[in-house]
Amino acid sequence: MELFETLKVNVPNVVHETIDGETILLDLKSGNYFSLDGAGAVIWEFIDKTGNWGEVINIMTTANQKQKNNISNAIENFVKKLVEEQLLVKTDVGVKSVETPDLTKQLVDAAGDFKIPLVNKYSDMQDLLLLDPIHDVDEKGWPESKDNQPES
Amino acid sequence: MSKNSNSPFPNKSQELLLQAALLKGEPMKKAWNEWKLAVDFEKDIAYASFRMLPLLYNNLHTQGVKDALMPRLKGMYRKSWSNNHLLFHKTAKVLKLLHSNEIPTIVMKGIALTIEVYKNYSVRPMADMDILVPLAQSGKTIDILKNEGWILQNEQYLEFNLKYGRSATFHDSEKTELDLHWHPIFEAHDNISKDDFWDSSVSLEVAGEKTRAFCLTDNFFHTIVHGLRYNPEPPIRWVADAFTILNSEDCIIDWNRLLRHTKKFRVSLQMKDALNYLIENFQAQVSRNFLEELDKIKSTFSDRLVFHHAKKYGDDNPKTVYEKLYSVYAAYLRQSKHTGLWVQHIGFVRYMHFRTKEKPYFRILIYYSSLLFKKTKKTKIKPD
Repeated sequence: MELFETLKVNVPNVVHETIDGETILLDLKSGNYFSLDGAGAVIWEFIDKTGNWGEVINIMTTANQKQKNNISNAIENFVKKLVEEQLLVKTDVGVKSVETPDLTKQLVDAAGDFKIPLVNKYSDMQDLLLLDPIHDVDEKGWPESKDNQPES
Repeated sequence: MSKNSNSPFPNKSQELLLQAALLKGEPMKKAWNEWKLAVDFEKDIAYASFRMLPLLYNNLHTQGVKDALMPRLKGMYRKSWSNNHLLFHKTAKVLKLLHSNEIPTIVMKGIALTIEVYKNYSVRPMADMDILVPLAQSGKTIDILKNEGWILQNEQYLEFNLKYGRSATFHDSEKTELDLHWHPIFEAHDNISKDDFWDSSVSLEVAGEKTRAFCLTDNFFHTIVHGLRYNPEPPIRWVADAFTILNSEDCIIDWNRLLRHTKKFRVSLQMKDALNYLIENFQAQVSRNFLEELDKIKSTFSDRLVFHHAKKYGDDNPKTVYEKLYSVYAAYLRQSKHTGLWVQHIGFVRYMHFRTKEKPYFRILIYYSSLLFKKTKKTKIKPD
């Protein structure tokens, strides 16, 4: 899959919100629900603000030279997955020049203790919405049911 | 002060939950700790409280509370966020359809409050969309929705509802509920003129579709009037809505407008009760002048009866013949002008005539007498 230089959130089909270090996303067209946590949530926010996913690799590999290749590949795979799921799409508008000191610091921190960012996908929203969020869920809370695990 | 369960006011544990969900600092922490002791999270969360949990999570999280229950509360917040976005998306499609047919719309209740007041898609879970259209276009709107596949519920009452009611309910194939309103409130809607509520409405966007919503003052008015009715499942959400409106950074209540509405739609008793509750339990900041003016309003027989019925029976299903007859009478008075006792009662005969599908008057009398007779017979039979 070709990755474009600048990407943007696929609005209005995709809505998203970051709560307490976790980004939740909903594709209104397909009804698929996604969750990104740890470095994934920060990377998402950075791309949402700037469109510049290449800069994510620059910041994180500069911060952790030892794992340069590992980080670079993991981020590329992560972004590819987001594009594949049509959560991010190509944009002709160039990189947005936005000051993001907090996000940059969070990317640097995430690079120091690097964990591969994952896209957790939950594809049957009708079933998910029927889950009782007190009794049918595991200790992480909805949408993690006691029985099922997300597709990654 | 908390009221008992047979009222539109929260009981003690619901009040603690509301305080934990709405207040800041120590009062929030105290209420949160007391609520956890008062309820069994695995067993005791009834629907009214359940709907408050995303708001509770948001308030606790923003104030840095750590607790073993937080992940599950966060799950409810996520679920509400997803559900609401799907509902907003569907609402936008309905609005677009109506606008393409040149029908102006106002979104009411949860959708409007989410965008205008809470500014957060998670904290106010909702199960349906409420859309207001002008009375003159209600028939056309119903036809458009039906043609689009929305199924009108209780169609046999439509004619009666268009004359004496305020709304109709539709479902789609996915069981999404749409409440179509042609009057924003039930109370004294005989007094509504076509510009009321529309004149101060504000523009709003629902999932990209432009529509309108009540101004904050009208939303506050609507929240109180709609909320202050007894329900077996106490509608405690009105407390959270009213409190949040009053405490919104950009909220300036137009007390004169609120007073005009209160007088015009005959709800001074509801307004007084609700504001006293909010002042006493949530330290709500209410204009002193408004409260003084409220005290000066003289209530009529109809005002008192409608208020009494709302608080005691409200939206509960009548269980006895007496309750049924009382509810029919209160429903009639509720939508009437509340003044001119004789004129009203002539209107009541007309209302009953229409309600019973224009059967001859003597058959209406026989019908209600038979209800009483059946009841008497039933009470005579004793179990073995």
